Amino acid sequence: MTSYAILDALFLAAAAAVVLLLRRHSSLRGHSPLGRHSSLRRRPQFQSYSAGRWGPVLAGGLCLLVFTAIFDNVMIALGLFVYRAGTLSGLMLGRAPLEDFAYPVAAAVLLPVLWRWLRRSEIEAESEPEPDSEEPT
Amino acid sequence: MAYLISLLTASGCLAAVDRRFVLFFWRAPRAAAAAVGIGTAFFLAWDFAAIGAGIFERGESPLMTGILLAPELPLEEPFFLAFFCHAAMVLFTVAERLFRLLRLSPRRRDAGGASADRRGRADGPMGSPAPPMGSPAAGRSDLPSGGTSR
Repeated sequence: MTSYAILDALFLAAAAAVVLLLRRHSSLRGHSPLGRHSSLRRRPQFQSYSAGRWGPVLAGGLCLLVFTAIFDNVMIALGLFVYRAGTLSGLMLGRAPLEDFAYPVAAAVLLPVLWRWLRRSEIEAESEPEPDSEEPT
Repeated sequence: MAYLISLLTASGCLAAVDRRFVLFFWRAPRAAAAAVGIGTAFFLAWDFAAIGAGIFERGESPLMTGILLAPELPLEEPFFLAFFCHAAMVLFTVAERLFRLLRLSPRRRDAGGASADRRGRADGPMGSPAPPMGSPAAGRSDLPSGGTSR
């Protein structure tokens, strides 16, 4: 029987692969995430870039984890869904299995990267936004 | 039914925050819709895999409509996942703006709903889902701290 933890590892790996691919794609195309005003800043570019890029991802992700801890417990307590015995590791946060927290981890990283990638032409052009090529699915 | 109503109410509250602070759907509607659509599809695939592996089972709660889209997959689940993705992005865009306002990150035009986004929204052929009545004021109040100083 496949365990929930193994399934999480597979989907987290898939999300990580997409994140790496989209980030590599942007850098290969030579997009500067800094914009044209990088010379105005005092700190080295790379340092500022990292802080600017991942700080909000981390902060938003931590909030999402806190909300998940609260509402996952509520939803399980209300009996909206159940887990089959034997598929969980047994590590719990209240009633919520630790494995459930892979969803917010994936969402917190994948969605911001996707959002930036979808707006890449707009970000690149800065003042001349072009319509997105992607259609809503 | 109560669960679905709660989800829709919460989604409405999230949309109100999004609109008031011009964060996500009210900043770049098509990119936002694509991101939420792709995210929801990804998490639905994860759900299907978990159901297929026999991990998730539907609860027999009276709070649910009882309508199933697939075996063990309730009608409510896509609504929950779309809400979840939207919530993740509202939290991220709020964090992005706070970082910018607190000068924790470099000033970038694309960070935190800058002028380029707003211009794009005004010119966009598709338009925003609703007339952004509150957004011009919200946008202007952002500019002095993030857009012009330094």
